[in-house]
Amino acid sequence: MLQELGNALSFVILAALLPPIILFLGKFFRPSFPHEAKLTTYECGELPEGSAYVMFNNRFYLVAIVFLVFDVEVALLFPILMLFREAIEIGGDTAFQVFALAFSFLGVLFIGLIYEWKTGDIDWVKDAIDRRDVLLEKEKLVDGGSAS
Amino acid sequence: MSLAELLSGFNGILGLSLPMALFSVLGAVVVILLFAMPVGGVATYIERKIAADFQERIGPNRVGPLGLLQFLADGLKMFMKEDTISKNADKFIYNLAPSLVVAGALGAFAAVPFSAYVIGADLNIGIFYAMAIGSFVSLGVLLGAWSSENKWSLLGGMRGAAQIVSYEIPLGLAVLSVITISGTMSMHELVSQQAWPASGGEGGHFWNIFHNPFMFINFFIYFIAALAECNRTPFDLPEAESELVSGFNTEFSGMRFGLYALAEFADAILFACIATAIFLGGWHVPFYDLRSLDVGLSIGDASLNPLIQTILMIGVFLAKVSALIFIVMWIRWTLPRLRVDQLMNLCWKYLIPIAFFNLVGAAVWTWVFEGQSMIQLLGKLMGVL
Repeated sequence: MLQELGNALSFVILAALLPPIILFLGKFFRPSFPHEAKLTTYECGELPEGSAYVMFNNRFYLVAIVFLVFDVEVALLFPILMLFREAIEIGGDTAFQVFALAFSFLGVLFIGLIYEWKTGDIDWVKDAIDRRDVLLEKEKLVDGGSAS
Repeated sequence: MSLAELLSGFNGILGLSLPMALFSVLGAVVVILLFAMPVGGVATYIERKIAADFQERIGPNRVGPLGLLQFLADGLKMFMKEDTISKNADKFIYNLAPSLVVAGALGAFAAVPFSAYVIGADLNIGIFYAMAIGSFVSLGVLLGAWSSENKWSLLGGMRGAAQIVSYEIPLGLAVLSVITISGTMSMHELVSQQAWPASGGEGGHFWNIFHNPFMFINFFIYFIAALAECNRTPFDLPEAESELVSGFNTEFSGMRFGLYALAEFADAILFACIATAIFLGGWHVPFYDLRSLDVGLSIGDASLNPLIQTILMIGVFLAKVSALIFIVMWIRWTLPRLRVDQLMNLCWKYLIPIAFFNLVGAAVWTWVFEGQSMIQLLGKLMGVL
């Protein structure tokens, strides 16, 4: 097993070393004419306006949190469900125990998913519906105004 | 048997006693430098040729016969191009990111079982390893985008990260159902189990995709999630050239861009390889077990059977992988790109619930029929097995 892990490690190390080696070798062949304008970041030909680290939608953050919970769950289920076939062969209550353990775990998470679905946390634009309501209300006000 | 062990046979032939570590590295060199990178390069040529066919153009036809050497010319061109790094970029992370992407895409090839005798590393957690190392790619995309300090890059990178992490869950659940019906995580054993069921009882349960109806649906969930994982159309939002210039790799130039492009193609090939291994039976063909092939030829005392079998197995495996890659390219020139909210809805509201139910279904099927597949049950019903 140690040998196999070593094999896998040599794959990862070789792959990780490839880009630096290729980029280093390229240094001897490629031209290098740095220029002030060339070294600015691309912004459709305009001069870059401010920093690129703008505020972005924290939907991205929420997705990452939800992902973390789910992925840990999936990672934990791998060894449990791997034993399912073996548990069936042992017979008796063992298969039921493995099944109950894995799927009660999964069930709790699924209820969580339904909760998030209902509260709108997994909708990409959660406030779109609110915004539409606000707009509709405004429109109604205008309509009401014109009607009266 | 892993490739390193196979290569260490040279010790015996040449009468040397080189350390095993050397053969580990040699195995990695064979798979990465002689398989993954050239195939990734050729894939760019094939993609351009297929794209041309779909749009009734000719495509690359100048470099070499039928333009076959186009990918080498492209690689050489990118190698000779100036490598501009914008002055605001975070240099350390900017240089680290390509390493992470390439390590994720190419490092995971260690677990791909090309034949019964050729596998980079015969780990007992092979599929888990491939998924874990494969997720380096999303980290590399995000870091590369963030460190180049460009608004387009940052938006593309954020989209990419959100997309890749979201689709990792249906992907993981689909793989989990394979583990449930197989009871092992070793890639070698996963493929071995998918042999054609023999009347003697020595066979397997045939391809996992035909194991039960839930697995059949799970294959398509895996395929869709894998498309999103390697940013292929219709999920190419991180690049989205019509809205984000070039997305996360806007600031990359020359070979740096080339490495990202290569890693993307290698990633697509990796996912096709894993799909082939865990769903489509790897190197198994219907009605026949290639491991029992006997050509009756030998050199001296050594039988040629393992060699012939290996060549056939690799051929079958690569044929399945190329079929999947062709479908991926076909989809690229057929479907338009999704919107971000559609992308997230598809993942969280359709794929994940369906994958959940399929996982439960696959487990119940395994329990009720004691791990037998549809083919085996049908065979028993007809009295063949």
